[in-house]
Amino acid sequence: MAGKPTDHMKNISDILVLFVDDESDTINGLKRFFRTAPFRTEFAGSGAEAMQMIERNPADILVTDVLMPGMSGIELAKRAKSRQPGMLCMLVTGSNNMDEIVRSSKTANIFNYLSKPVDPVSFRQNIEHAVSLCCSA
Amino acid sequence: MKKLSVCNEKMEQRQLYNTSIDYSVFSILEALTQPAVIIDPDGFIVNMNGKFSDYSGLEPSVCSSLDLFDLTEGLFSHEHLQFIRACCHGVASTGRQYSFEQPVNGKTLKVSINPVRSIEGQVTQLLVMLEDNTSNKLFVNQSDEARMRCDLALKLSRTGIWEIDVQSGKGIWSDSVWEMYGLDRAEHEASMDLWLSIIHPEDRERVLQVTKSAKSLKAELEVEYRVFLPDGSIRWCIARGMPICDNACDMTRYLGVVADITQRKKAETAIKENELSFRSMFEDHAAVMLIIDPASGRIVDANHAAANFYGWTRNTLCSMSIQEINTLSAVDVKLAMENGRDAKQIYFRFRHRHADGSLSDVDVFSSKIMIDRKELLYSIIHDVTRKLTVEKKLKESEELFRSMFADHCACMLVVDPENGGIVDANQAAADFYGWSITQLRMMNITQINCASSDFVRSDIRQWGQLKHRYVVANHRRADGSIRVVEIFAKKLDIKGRALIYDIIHDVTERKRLASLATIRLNLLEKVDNLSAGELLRSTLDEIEKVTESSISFCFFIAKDQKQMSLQAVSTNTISTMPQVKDRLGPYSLNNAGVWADAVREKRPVIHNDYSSLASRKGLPEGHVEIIREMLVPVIRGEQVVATFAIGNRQFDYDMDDARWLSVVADMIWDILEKKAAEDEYRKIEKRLQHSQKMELVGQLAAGIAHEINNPLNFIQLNFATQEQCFTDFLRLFNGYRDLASNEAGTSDASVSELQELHRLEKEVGLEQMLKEMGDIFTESQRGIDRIKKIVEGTRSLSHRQDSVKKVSSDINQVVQESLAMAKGEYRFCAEIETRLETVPLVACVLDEINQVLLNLVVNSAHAIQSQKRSEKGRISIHTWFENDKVCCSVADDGPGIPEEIRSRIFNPFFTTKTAGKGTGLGLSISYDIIVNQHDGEIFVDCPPEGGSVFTFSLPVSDGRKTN
Repeated sequence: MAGKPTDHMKNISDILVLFVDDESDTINGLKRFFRTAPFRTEFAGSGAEAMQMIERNPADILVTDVLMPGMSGIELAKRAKSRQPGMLCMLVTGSNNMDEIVRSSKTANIFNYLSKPVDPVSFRQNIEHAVSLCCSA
Repeated sequence: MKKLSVCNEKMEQRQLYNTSIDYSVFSILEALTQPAVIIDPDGFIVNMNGKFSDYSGLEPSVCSSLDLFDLTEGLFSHEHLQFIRACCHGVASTGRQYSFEQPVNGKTLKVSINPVRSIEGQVTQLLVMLEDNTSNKLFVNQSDEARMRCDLALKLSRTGIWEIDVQSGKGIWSDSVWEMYGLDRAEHEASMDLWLSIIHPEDRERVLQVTKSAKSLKAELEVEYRVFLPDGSIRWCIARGMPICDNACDMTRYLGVVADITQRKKAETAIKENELSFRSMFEDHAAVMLIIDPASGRIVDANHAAANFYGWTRNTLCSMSIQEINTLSAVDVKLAMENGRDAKQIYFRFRHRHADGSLSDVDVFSSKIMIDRKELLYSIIHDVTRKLTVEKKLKESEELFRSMFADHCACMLVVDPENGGIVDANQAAADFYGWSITQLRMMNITQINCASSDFVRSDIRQWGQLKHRYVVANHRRADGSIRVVEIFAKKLDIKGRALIYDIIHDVTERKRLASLATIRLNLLEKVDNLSAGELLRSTLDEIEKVTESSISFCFFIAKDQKQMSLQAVSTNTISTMPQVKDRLGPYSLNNAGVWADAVREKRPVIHNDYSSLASRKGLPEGHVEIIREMLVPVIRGEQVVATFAIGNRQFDYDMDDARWLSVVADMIWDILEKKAAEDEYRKIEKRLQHSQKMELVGQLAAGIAHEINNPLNFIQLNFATQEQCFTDFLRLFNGYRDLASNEAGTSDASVSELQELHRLEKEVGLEQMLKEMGDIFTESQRGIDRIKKIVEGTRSLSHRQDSVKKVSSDINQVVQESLAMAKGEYRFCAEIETRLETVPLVACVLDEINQVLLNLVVNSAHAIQSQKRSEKGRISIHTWFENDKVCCSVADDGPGIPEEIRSRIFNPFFTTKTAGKGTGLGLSISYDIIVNQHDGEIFVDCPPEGGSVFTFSLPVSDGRKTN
């Protein structure tokens, strides 16, 4: 909805989703979880790595952890948006103070907030929903 | 006649006393009833009375100094006169009165010759008295009689008669002369030569000279000489002779008498020797001696020592009277002299004057002596000025020492070490003990010393062996009270008797003051570990011990001053009255008896005779009988806050006890108040500590949630993946199972089924799936472990706030838990570096140490975060063991702490963090935990390379704190 209308529809297999988390175990879990997914996935262990990947290979969707050493998820989202304004950014946060997260990420135009620990079913649905939006955009 | 004789003797005596006064002699002579004449031994007339003048026809004025015998030749025959002259010589030399009868003109005349002595006792004159004795005597054959008498007289008077012819030297000696010379007249012829031959050779020349001289002068001869008797002995003789002239006035012969004067000479020599020796004893003696005439006080004689002593010459002294020397009044001196004379007193103490006017105290020993029949005082004077000064000083010194004993304010006893008897005591001792000095002197030390008498006796006997000793003992007084005394004992030798001289010093008060310090120390030592009630009981026990009481109570008084409640009783009290603990109150003060007196009167109250007390209300059942009691109030402001009561001492309580108890009561009250305040403070501090912990927990909660959520997150994902895998795997498994069960069927069908299965394998990515399965389990297990660790960490924060039990703990484990909990705080900003050495277990309150570590780690993380740097910082945690302490340091490479605030970081509410990030209590609470609760140390150090290092240490070997 927030995405700009495009001239042609994108195939779901063209959609690239970038997951960012500083914990390798989480990254591993996500890799396995989305191994059979119809869209493309990439994984980064930090904000800086994610930005490099975006530079090289623009992602349609960014799913990032908020609390990370170095660059936080919010900062990453802001930078990614400024690099690629059509990108859908989703924040995954363990904080129970969602209001504060929302307030601090206002300028980053966040598509969705997901709370940790994620419910695998709704998590997958949320990602797939975003992917479908990207396809129809 | 007899009467006359007596009278004569008296007269004679009187005459002797007054030899120098001629008129009195004369009047005495006149008073005589018979003719009397005084002559000198040679016969010259000195005086005569009228009767003699009448009798002889001599005129007194004419006859004076003429020879009586020359003048009376007409009255007596020549022979008679010679006899009388010889008699006179005899009387003069013997000093004995001699009388004889003489026929004169038909009458019998009695002639008595009496010696008249000079003041020196020498016979200087003779009193010759004549008396007609005819009526008493009838002379028959007058001439024979006369010769016989004459011979007898000559013999008795040891006198011989001699006659010598000057020309021929031949002579006639009477029988007595031969006898005197020890010669036989038959063998010798009397002659001058014979005479000279028997004279002692030493005397011979002198006798010759005297004889020649007398012969040439035709004078009378008198010479004394010694003769050698045939038996070898020596005899002193005196020969007197008178020249006899013939008609032509030529001297033809000498007629004379010779008398034996050996006895007299011997006596004279003895007297002379005696006199010389006595004279020397008087004159040369070093003692001052005076001879005084007691009648006049005149000094008759004085010796050299006296002259030296008084400073007057002997001559001057002999012209003085004793009144000029003695400082007493003339009357007193006279009285003293009379006493001395009458031998009523022989010893006197006078003050005598010297020539130079100075005075001396003298002892005078005076005794009466007779010299020439005169009573004189012979005084030996001894200068005692110096002795008196010494005596005075000695007396003063003795009085001083006596006074030092008797009047000294220190108690002193003199004790006989043999039996313990009190020999002496001073007034201070009497005042102190309550017995009079007289009573004390009859007592034994065992009655005073509280120790067993056997012990005291053997102990005191040992004291006798020692020179001095110091000991502390309990002494009983008359009123039964027992005082602690210090005894300084010294062995003294008094008149050969060993005695112990004790100075006794009452140190009861000092001991009590010392006990105050002990009680206070005990209280302060126990105040942290005992409850207020336990402290009170322990103090009451001490009070009982010191005051020798057997019961004690402590009441607290309510603020309204209307109610009191029993707060504590001593151990002894509760054992004798177990029911007392059921009667804690509160009681109304109005109902309370004498126990409340101290509250009502706001001052110490002493009832030494409880039973006679009017205000007592009676004791509750089971209450020990009160004999005497003392109560002191503790007053704060205007109000009595507590009372302390003690009772049933064996002897009376006094104000000293009250003062002491008041001090103790005040002291314990202050300590209890302080304890209450401290307990309150401790509670507040604990609450504060707890709230800081809560703050920390709150602060950590987000991080903890995050830390749990992360593993939980991927575990959930893994579960979902696993579930999908399992579904896929089940499909394949069922396909293969169907295929296996249909193997008996057509091969075509099985081939196509097999192909379908292979396709499905590829679809689900079986190979990949199988590989992932292991990873899922491994990683999930890791996630679960992480969660477990965090949960364990949070458990230590969940301890109850009043749980202060110290348990032996491994600091390294605490470090691990703390790190797990604080991970959320540091994980994005810092790497953790740990160097945990093996350390012994240390007694600590786990969650308190955990709180400290969390504070330090969180502070480090925040410090690093505050720098907002891109790189992660480093937090290093190091544990080690040194000096019996377990040490732990938390270092970071953050900004460090500025010098100027470093000293304040442990202050409460000091923080550099922005509002909401912390209350500033973390480090102050950590300080309290480490330093106050664990007797450890905590400090900060900022090394030059940056960052800050917090180090704390906990003592290991602290037995008291280890449970």
